[in-house]
Amino acid sequence: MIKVRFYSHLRRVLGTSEAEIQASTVRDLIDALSARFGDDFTSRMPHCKVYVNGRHVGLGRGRRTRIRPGDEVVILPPVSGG
Amino acid sequence: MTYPRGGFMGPILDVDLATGHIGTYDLPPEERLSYLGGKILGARILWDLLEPGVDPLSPDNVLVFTCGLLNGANSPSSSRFNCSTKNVLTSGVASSNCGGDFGMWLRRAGYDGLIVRGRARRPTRLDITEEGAELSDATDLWGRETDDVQATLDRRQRELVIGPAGENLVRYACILSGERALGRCGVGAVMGSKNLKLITAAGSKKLPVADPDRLKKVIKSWVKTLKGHPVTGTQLPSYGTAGLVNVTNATHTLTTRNFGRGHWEHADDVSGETMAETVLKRNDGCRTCPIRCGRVVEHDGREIKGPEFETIGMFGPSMLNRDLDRIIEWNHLADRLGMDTITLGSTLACAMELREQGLLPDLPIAFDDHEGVSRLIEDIAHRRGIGDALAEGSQRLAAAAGAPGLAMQSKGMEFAAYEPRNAVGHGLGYATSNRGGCHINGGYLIYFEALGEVNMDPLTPKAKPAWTVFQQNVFEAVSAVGNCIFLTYAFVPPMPRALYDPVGPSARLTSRALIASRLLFDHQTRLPAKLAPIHLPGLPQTEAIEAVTGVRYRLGDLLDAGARGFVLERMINLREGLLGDQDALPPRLTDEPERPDEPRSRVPLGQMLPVYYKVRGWDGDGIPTASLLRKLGLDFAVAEAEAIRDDPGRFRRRYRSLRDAEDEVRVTAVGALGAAGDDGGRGQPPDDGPRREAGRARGGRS
Repeated sequence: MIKVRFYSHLRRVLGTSEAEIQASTVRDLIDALSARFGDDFTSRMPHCKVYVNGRHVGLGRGRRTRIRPGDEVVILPPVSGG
Repeated sequence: MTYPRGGFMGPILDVDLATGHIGTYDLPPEERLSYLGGKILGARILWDLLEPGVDPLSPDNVLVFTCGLLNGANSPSSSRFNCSTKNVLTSGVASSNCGGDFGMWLRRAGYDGLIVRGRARRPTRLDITEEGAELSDATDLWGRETDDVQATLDRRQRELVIGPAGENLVRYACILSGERALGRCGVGAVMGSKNLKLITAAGSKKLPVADPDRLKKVIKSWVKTLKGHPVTGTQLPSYGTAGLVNVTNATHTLTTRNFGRGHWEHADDVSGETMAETVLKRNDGCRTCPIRCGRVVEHDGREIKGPEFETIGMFGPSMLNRDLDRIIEWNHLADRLGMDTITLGSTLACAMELREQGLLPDLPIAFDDHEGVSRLIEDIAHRRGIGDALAEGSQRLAAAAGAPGLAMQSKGMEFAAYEPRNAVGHGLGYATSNRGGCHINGGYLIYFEALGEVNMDPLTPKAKPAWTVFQQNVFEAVSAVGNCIFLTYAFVPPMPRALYDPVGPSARLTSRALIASRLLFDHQTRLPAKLAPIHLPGLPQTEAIEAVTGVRYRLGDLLDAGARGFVLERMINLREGLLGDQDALPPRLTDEPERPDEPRSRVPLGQMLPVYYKVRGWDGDGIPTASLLRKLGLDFAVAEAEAIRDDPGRFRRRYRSLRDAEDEVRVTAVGALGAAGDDGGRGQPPDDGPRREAGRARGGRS
């Protein structure tokens, strides 16, 4: 199982700070989260990044990125501050 | 340039505390528009009035408060004003920005700024109204905490006030305006060195606006954009800047253990999300701001100001403290005492590491022991015992202890809570920021490297110099206008799904495109302003300036103004002897990868800095060229730039002699670690008699 964490307003909208998902790639992960949380997730995911062990998967292998139990997987909406 | 028909209230009040003389100082309005207001106007005044080489805490230093051009225009998030002076931490330029109400109220009284010179012989207050200004005795306020003084004020007044830290010349003392602060650079110590406890402003004048109908339309559209953007419309209102804790942690850009690493397993304990779920009572915000990122939290049965991201980063992960309540308490305490929480937290973390290495054995706190932090913060503000050494800031503390590399600072001022080794452009910003280790003055490249929706490779040095220059110039101008820089986060609109997928190939392609954009951006400072005669939807400031002043003002003008301000502040630094070798970072950040498995996770400053100088139009030593200065209308600085180029040693000696005088103080202070008793500090009001020179002798009563 992969533990995935949600931050910022995604956490509030989904009503949880994390979820455990059976997945071996980021693509599997997104599909599984879409099935579990429905529109609350799918409507926001297009603006969110996925980081695996501190690395932005969009700058690497994207959805093909492999994930393993123990990896730190987080979904990040855009944020900023000062 | 056309004469502005609006946007300026009146002259700049000019007060000499030594003589009691109150007059005005001004530049012609058409010239003033080229400096906009805020920090750029402040730099212009400082260039004229500040004698190079003076001690920042001597009577010869000048305090310059300047309003933003849009203060009072009712445009969004435009209440911010500025304080420029000689920096108590760096001995170079200081500019500190605040979202409190004072700037707007100073304008209501009829002034666009305030200059304070000299030193009063007694604790003094300055009250400014439409009828003029008045100096009076403030002995009854001396020694009192900021909230205590604020409670004595009339509701129609808005104030600037220092706490005991400012009175005691703590090098990172701040000035409070309501619950907001002119936080950085030790501006509160400068005010304290002048025996000026309190400034108030009151009035009802309205800002002249050339085209009110157009301004209304601009504001309506601007607010709509901000409310619809995921950052300014959702994240910041929901979680404040504290919403950055978890995200910076996930991207390994959160200071942890005095910048020993960028990730902490307990970060969520002190995150904005946790704050919202536990102690948050409501949002708060600066006047005219639709974002309302401020937090009001419950603590000990009271509602008080909640901490910002930087405060949390410094008091939390950087000190390995998991207790959010303690962060709230220390933040509140620092405000009451009048201290910058960034430098305070960074100095505490530095001290903890010094103790761990056996270099500060008497320190009563440690990474795993935070019991004594509140007491130590009080001791710092009053310069009691070991607090006296910590009141000097991390650079002086670590150098005196024999481990200068443990101070996480540039030019002498501490970094904000962003760990830059996984956002290397942000590291370049820290190194080149004029006021020292500042994320905002540095250009906040981390937004494009890790935080925003669209990112470029955070570890490549390519394109980072060009984007840093662009961002620094934009922030400089936006700040001078009186806007919060948070408005610029809406510069990048939410991306259409059809064009951009943050998890798909388009993310990688966009990163490459941003990096390739350097081919254009590398030449940005050489392009004339007239080549950008447009308004950008993401930067409505230009339209607002046109509506308020009635003068044609386009993107190219705004970028030029930003460059003008940044370069002028650079010239002030150079004139003070802060040369190119001060554009530096601690070896921890440049030499030691944050991730053992990723050698690129360090800041390749040596690769980026020469490119940065070139993009800026500076020579290889970081000195602006004569042609650049003339292009920016800074002809008056050409001779000084040439003098620095011809004989840099003379200017370096100017800096060294000032710092050497401080060294004596520092050695005395640190040598007496734990020896000074509770009679340290300047808790008693100074008398009429001769006072010791600020920054020269510490530890005794004045």
